[in-house]
Amino acid sequence: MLGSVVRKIPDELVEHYLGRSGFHCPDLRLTRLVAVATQKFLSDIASDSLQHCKARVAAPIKDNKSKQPKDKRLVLTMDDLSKALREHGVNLKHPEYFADSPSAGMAPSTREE
Amino acid sequence: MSGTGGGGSGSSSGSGDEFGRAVARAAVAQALEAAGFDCAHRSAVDAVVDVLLRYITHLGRSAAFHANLAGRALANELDIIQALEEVGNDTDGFAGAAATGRCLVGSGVVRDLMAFVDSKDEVPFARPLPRFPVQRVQPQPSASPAAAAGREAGMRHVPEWLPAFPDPHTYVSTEMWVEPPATKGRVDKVEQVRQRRKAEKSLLSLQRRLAMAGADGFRPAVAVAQDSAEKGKEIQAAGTKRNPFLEPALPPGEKDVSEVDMPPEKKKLSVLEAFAPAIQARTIREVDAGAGLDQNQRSIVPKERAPVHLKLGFEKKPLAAALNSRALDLREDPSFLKEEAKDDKKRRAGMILRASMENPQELPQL
Repeated sequence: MLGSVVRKIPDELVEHYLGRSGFHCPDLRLTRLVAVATQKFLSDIASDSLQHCKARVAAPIKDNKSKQPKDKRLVLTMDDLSKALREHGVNLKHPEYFADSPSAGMAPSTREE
Repeated sequence: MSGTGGGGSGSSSGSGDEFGRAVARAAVAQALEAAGFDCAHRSAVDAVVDVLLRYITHLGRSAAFHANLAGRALANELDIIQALEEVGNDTDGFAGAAATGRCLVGSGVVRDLMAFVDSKDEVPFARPLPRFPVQRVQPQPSASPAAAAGREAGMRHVPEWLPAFPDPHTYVSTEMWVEPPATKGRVDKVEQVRQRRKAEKSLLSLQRRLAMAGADGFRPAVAVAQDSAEKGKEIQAAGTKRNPFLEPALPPGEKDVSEVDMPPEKKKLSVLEAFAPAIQARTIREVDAGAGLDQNQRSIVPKERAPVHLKLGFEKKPLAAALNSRALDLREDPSFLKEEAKDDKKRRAGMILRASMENPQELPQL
C-alpha cells in the first residue's frame, strides 16, 4: 500500500525531524507511514483552506459581475489558513499590520536611516 | 506566487534547519498546487511549513513516548497509530474512537489513512521526490567519522544521531603511573647521603662533647643532652661561673699545640690529677705540696683512668665527682695515648712521695 503512493514528502525530511524528536525507526515502512500521515494532514489543510477560499470568492458573486469563481486566482491567505487550522486544533493568528518600520529591532549598523 | 505578507520567513522556531524548511516548503507548495491553489502568500506558506514540521515532530515524540511506555526503545507501527489517535486528524475525532479494547490495526485512523491512500492513487505524481538525498548528511554533521568508528567499536546500542563520544583516553581508565627504577635509585641515594651526613654530624658533636667534658668535668651529663652549639654556650657560662680560664675547647686544628703543652684550661685538672696519686699512695702530703706539684705538673695531660680512693675529709673541692666524671671521659676518649699517661703518672707519684717525705708534718688533714 505504501509503495504505490507518490510521496510528496521526502523520506529524508521525515527521518530527519523524527530523529530530532527521539523517534528512531530503522524500519523504512514506519517512516513511510509517518510520511503518509503527514501528507494526509497537509492535504486536509489544503483542501479545507481551499474550501474557505472558494466560499469567500463565491459569496459576493452577483449575477451582474462577470466574476467567475473559477477564473479568479485562488490565493492562499492567512485568513483562510487560520480558519482551516482552527478545526485541526492549531490557533494561527496573523497580525494585520506592523506598527513599526521594517528596520525596527535590527542592529544599528544595518539600519538604513 | 505573490507574497504580500510581512516578514519573509518570520518564524523563530526553526532557527537551525533552514535546509529542512526549504525542502518542506517545496513539498507544501506541491501539495497546495495539487489541492487546487493557484498562488499563495509567502507567509501563509511559511506558516503551513511550520505547522507541518511541528506535526511530524509531535508524531515522532508521541510514538517514542508510547514505545518507552511499553518498555521498548524502538518504536512500533502500533506506536505510530496510537500517536495518530492521540493527535486526532480532526477535532471531530475519527470513527471508532469511543470503542476501547480493540485492535489498533483496525482503528479508524488506519482506515482513514487507507482511504486517503486509495484516493491518492487517482492523482499519480511522477515526481521523484527523494531529490534531496544530501539531507542524510545533515542530521549527522559531527558524527560521521568518529561516530562510525565508535559504533563499530562496540557501542552499537547508541543511536547514530547522538553526538560522538569524546576521545577514549578521556574516560578509559588506565593504570597508575608506575615509578621508574631510575627515580627510585636516586631517592635511595639521597637517603643514603642524608643518613651519612647525619652520622657524621653526630660523630662530630660527640667529639666536641668529649673535648668539652675534658675541659669541664662537672657537666658531662648535661652536655650529652645538648648539641654542640648550645654546649659551647653552656660550657662558657659554667666557665664564667667558676673560672675565667675555663674556656670552651678549641677545635683540634685551630691552635697548634704540642702534646705536652696544654692550654691553661687544664690547670684545674692537673690539680685534681695531682691529688689522685697522693690519695692512692696513702701518704701524708700537703695542700701546698699539691699546689707546688701543680705548678710542676702543669703539663700533665689526664690521659688514663685514675684509681679512685675516696677519703672523706674537709676537702673543699668535690673531688670524687670530678674524678669519677673525668675517669669516664678519659675512658671514652680514644685519641689520647695510654702509655705516655702511665709514665707521667709514675713520675708524679715519685715527686709527690719525695715532697711528702720532705714535709711530713705540714699536712694536718688526711
